[in-house]
Amino acid sequence: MRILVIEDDSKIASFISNGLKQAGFAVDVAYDGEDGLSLGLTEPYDAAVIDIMLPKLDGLSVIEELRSNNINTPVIILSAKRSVDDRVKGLETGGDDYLTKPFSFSELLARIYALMRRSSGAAESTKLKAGRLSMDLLNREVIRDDKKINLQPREFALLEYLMRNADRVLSKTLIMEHVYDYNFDPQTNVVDVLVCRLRNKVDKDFEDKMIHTIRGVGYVLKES
Amino acid sequence: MFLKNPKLLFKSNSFKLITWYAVFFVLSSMAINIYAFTVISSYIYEQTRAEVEEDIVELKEIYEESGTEALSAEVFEDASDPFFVRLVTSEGESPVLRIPEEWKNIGPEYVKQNILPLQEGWVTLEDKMDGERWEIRTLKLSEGTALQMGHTMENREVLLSEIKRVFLFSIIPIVLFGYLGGVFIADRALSPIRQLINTLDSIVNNSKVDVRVPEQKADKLHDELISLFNKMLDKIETLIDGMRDVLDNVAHDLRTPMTRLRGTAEVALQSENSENLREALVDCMEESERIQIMLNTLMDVSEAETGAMKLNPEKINVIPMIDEVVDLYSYVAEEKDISIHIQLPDQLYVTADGNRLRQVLANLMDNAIKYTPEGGQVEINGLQSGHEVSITVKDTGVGISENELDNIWDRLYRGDKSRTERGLGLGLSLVKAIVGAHKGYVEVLSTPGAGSAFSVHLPT
Repeated sequence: MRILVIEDDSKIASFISNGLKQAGFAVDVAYDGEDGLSLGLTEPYDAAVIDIMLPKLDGLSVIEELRSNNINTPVIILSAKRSVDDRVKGLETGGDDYLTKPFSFSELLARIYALMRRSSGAAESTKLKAGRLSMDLLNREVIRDDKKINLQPREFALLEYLMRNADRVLSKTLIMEHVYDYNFDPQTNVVDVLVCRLRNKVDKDFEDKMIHTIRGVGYVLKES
Repeated sequence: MFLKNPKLLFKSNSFKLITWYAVFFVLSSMAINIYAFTVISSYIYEQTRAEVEEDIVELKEIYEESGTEALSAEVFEDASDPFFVRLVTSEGESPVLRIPEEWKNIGPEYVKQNILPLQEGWVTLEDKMDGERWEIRTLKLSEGTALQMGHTMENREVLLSEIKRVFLFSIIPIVLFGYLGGVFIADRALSPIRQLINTLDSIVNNSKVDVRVPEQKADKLHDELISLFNKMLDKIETLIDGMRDVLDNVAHDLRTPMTRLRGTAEVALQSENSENLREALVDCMEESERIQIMLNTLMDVSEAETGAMKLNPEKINVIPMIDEVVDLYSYVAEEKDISIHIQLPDQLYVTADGNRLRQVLANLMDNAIKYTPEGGQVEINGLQSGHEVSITVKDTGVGISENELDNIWDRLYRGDKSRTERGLGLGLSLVKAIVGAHKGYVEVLSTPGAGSAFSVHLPT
């Protein structure tokens, strides 16, 4: 898996590329729009992370150029602008997702996985499995060690999201977005409470804990 | 280009106006003068003829009643009067002929040849030497005789030329008045523009945003221009002040968490214990997240307050939106054993930006749940009255004391009793700012110890 990163800030570029390399990707970094575009036009990539404000050629133009050359690599836009208009503009230009700075790396990673899964077009399985935990999406049934676990809709949605991203840390923002479809920073610990409830049902009666809190980052479901 | 020297533009405009006014004024004054002169001169001319007519009729009566002798006696009675009289018989003889002294070059022969008594009427005789004009009347009498009489126009022409002279001299003051009037009119007409220019000048060159163009009650068009211009300046000033406020507030509000961030990192760097390092990193992450949320919210509040927030208003049913928010907080409420009561009609439509309205509702709910103690209850009411929709979120929390009621909507204000709670103190100011941007208003009723009710009122 190969990823193109176009970002002019060398520190951000290196923290993205190091993180992606650790996650097992091959990474090419370009520090301005022109270099990035020529890389994007000549090399095959599985995904691209493109900053909007770039020297020489701005990110939106790079994406436009790529799309007009029929290169449909999924693109995540990085931007310091967070208004709805900017987001819409980015997505209309051909970006597939939009991430506002500052962002956490785990969130970027989760979004890259989601995009690649979407673009690979793999048939959605109706059954999810993580370690000894299994989930039937059709019957909405969750079983751990042959024991059935009853979940309420939001708890089910959270567990599904965690299982689909097993072993990956998911931030509270991501969980809010996926489970509640809400773009909002609640001051009350809505997500903490939800995770706590899920944990009571999934982990409480078992020796091995699956749901872990990574303090300051988010939550992760570990398969073993 | 010409903005670099606005005074030149003004001058040329004003010069044009002055010239036009002066030309118009002078021409129309001249026209009036010429007309007056014509009227006066023709009146004088008529007057002369009327006198001649009167005299000739008198002479005719004398002749017809008393004959040639009496006429002659009458005519020569006063020798100094400058007038001409001739009696002509059918044979061409002139038994009575009085030639005035002024006719030095005109003898009886000349008169005989030139002043012909051929028909009744008027003849104007002009003395070729001195240009004097005479009006001569011929009156036919019985048996082919005719009586002629003429008066000089001299005295009257002196009067007319005097009038002409006065008129000609009056041109100088007329031109002067025309010019001065033009200057006055141009000054009045262009003064609003000059004031605009002066105001603009002090804004552009001295960076003074609080200057306004003085309003005058002179002309409707000018008033409109000035008041529009001032309104535009007001708007610009609000925006600039708003942005300045935002910068000040953001700088101020960020300093505290930045200090914490820095302090944590500093202490961590001096520590040898890896567990402490880990703790410090976690603190840094949490702190930076708080900064991010605070920055976002501050920007929202400021944008909404200054009118810079982009809204996409549409007709929205708020009921499903409230259900969503209740769902979002249902687990948290359950955890605290808070019961949520909803009392809403089937439909409740407002004109608002969906995302922003969601933010408002979520913040109200967040606030209510946060300050309601375990076992309490939160009540949501919605109703429409006229063109206004009111949504009220009521809690059974600690309430707000009288002297704090006014401050709770302020940015970063946190009541004494709520300091221990986790929060930024931005939720309610965001609610107020967004509702304000929708031309609605907020309200709070509170009984200390019993709870508070926060209401937002939005136009339908």
